Amino acid sequence: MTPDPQREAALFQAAAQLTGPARATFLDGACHGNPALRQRLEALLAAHEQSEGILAETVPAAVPTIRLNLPDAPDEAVGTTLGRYKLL
Amino acid sequence: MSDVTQLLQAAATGHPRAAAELLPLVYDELRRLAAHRLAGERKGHTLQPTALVHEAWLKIAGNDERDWNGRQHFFAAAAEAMRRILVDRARRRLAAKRGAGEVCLDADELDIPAPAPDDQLLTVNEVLEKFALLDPRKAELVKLRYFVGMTFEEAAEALGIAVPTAKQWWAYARAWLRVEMAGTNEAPSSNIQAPSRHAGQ
Repeated sequence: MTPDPQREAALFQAAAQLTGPARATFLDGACHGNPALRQRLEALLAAHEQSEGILAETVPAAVPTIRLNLPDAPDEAVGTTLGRYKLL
Repeated sequence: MSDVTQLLQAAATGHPRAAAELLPLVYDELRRLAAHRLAGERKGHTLQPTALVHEAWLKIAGNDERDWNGRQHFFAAAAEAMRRILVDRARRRLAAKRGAGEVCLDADELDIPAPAPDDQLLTVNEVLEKFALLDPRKAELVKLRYFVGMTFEEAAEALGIAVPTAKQWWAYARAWLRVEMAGTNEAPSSNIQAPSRHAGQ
């Protein structure tokens, strides 16, 4: 479990914006003397960088395409958005 | 609808039980809307949960649509209601698959697409409940995106935060949930599996 979630989130956000040596240097400093924290942050960063898997950005788009047969759709529905779709 | 409006106002001013009382009313409203949308002339069309939630809000808020405090409470209740609808359905479908007797699924639930296969949805839900104990606001964001299917823009507006903040929250929440689902404190493997399948790794 996460002992200090706010601190962990803040360190994660900072590290996630860095790459390569800059990230390593940052983690060295932030996790000095705390190998468990380092391991935890590296696990989070690796999970973050997975392009696929659970909760990937493509998840909402994986929902089946809606086929709308709405010849009687009211006029006021035009222009409203349904999630990522806009009724034209 | 006046009940819901009163509760929204009470919740917005911090009345302790209002939010809890709001939930069943919002839940009922979503189901009513889902059934109504699917009746008769709307055949051949499935519903995105986001559309249902927005429509329920417009119906309930009426002239008060711009009341931001009430709106946030409504969306929190709606996300929770949607979560319960989807989780309950996933559990019943899995029970049916395991041959646990005849399962009665309400017709209005069948046409709300799930964001994920049933077992995955239940795993995410379980892990999200743990995460919510640590960071309830970020967990709200996950609910809005995962169970309701909101975009970052919609979710940010529902939560009253900026879009970049929503993206940051999502990045951390997602990483946290993935690590938790992998069941260890190591980086998850590329094939996400249910937790505790690799004891000792």
